[in-house]
Amino acid sequence: MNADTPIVELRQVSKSFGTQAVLRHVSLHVRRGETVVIIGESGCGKSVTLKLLLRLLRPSSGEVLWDGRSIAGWSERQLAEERLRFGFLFQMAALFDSLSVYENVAFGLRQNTRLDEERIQQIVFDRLRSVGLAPGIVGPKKPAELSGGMRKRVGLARALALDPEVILYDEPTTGLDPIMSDVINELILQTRRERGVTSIIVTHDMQTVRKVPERVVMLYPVARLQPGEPQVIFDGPPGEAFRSKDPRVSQFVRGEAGARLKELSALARPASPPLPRRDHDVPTLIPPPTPETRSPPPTGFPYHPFDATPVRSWTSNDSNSASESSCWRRWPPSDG
Amino acid sequence: MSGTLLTRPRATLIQALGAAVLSVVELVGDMALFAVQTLLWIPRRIPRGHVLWPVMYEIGVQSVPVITVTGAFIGMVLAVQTYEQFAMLHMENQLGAVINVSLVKELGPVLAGVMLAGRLGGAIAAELGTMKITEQIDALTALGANPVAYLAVPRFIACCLLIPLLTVIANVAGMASGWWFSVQVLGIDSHFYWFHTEGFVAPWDYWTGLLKSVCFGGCIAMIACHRGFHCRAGAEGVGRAATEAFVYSFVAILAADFLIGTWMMKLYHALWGVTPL
Repeated sequence: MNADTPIVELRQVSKSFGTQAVLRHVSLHVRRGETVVIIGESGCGKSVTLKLLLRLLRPSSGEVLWDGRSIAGWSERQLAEERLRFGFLFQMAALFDSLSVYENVAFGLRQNTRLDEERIQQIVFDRLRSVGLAPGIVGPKKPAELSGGMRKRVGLARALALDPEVILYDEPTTGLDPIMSDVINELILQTRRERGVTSIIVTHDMQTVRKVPERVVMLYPVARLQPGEPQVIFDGPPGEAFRSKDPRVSQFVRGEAGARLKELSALARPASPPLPRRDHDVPTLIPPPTPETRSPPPTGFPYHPFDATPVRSWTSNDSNSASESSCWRRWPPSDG
Repeated sequence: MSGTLLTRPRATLIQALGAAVLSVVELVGDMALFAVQTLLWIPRRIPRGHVLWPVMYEIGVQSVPVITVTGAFIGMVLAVQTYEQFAMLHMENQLGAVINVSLVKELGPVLAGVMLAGRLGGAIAAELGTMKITEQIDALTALGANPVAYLAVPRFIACCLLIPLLTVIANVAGMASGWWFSVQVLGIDSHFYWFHTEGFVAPWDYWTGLLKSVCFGGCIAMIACHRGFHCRAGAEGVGRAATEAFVYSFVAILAADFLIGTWMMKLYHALWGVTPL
């Protein structure tokens, strides 16, 4: 293995769930120390790509390589050992509900090492502090007692506990307020700076795309690709993504829905003319009330209780009616 | 898409029947493979205490009240139902024999098993199903833990060890309540009640009942864990997993009861040459 060997690589990988193809002949490599962001529409296979990279899912065809070695024939034991080189921050953090925050962060250490409890505590406290959480306060809490941002940070602390070489982030800022999103972005940058880890981030957050990566990869949904067209439609620096001439890329990173809206409205166009609406087109048996047939509201009630239409017709003899076009004027009209 | 749906030929009765049979075979085969996988993990990695004890507490200790009440009512219902018939034959003093034989051999294990299938099967499937859809099972794998070893094995061990104990509790509660109702309400002599019980309830009956409850425990754990691991997304998926865990466990309990009852009777006949009571 030389220095240029990708630390993780997908080679012509396809993945289907039943009859639904999610990935089609996708090739992707990430070099050691690189920070790569994967973007694309919802359902285009970004999270599936992350899970394939960690072998949480098996590819339908193609190869996954770690350090240039294909993992296809590896035993579960070998996979479990090698997986410890990776940390995974799940979309909703995936903290274990039944364990406290401390136990969550300590889980990997207890499961895979023979460290004594004192050393485990040092590591857990260090990781919680590194994501900006006070171990004494947060440690004993259950995940259900934490806010979304805190859960993500605990998830990151748990992913960092075993000092991974690669961290996979699945939508790390989704569902967080802008400030907390920026906190998470800064934590990703800080982790890369301090630990020199390789980072692969799946996100929809363009702030993350601008700020964090060295390289952006964009996937396009299989269902909307032309036959033979590659699913990776962009692979380059973030600046180029924003200046891309490919409208699929530039519209996505700028959040412009114009072309997509046209496609959606074409799909939603009804096959047959709409049925007539009853209230407009079909005569009803009981005609709507006219000013003559409408009964006045009860005396003394301050506002007309049934209707939001102006009540001028009832008060057409009122000298003030011309100025009282609002339906919210008082009833009955004042004499003055 | 819609065109495809409209033009799809309707399945004939034979095709529908074949598909149903195939799905059942597939389900049973998948469960069997899951069971083998779980059993293979037991000697490879015995669950640690901090993982096993909470599961045993939840499955064992938390089930004691409900299983005691179940057992107590089974005993009293048996007394009520059998008294009339025995009284007509002037054999009411032998009520203890029929109540206690039915309890330890058949009704105690089966009804306790059914009750625990509802309580534990649903709870285990819902818990593991929720873990599955919130990616906690993926997180276990990512952190180097095998989900079957970490989640299914402790539950299997706890169910196999504790459901027989819970069945014993149900039996004791049923025997006590049946005796109390027969003596205090129906006016049967306590001495004859126990005298006939001793004459009819043999250790073989206890062991048959206990063997059944061990098998029921294993079935409940395997089925509930399997359904939890194969839970589909959303609240509907979790609800379906919990329901399936109960229904499949219930069917498995009845099937196992029939098979074990038949085999144990044949074994008794082979060993002692007579048919047990």
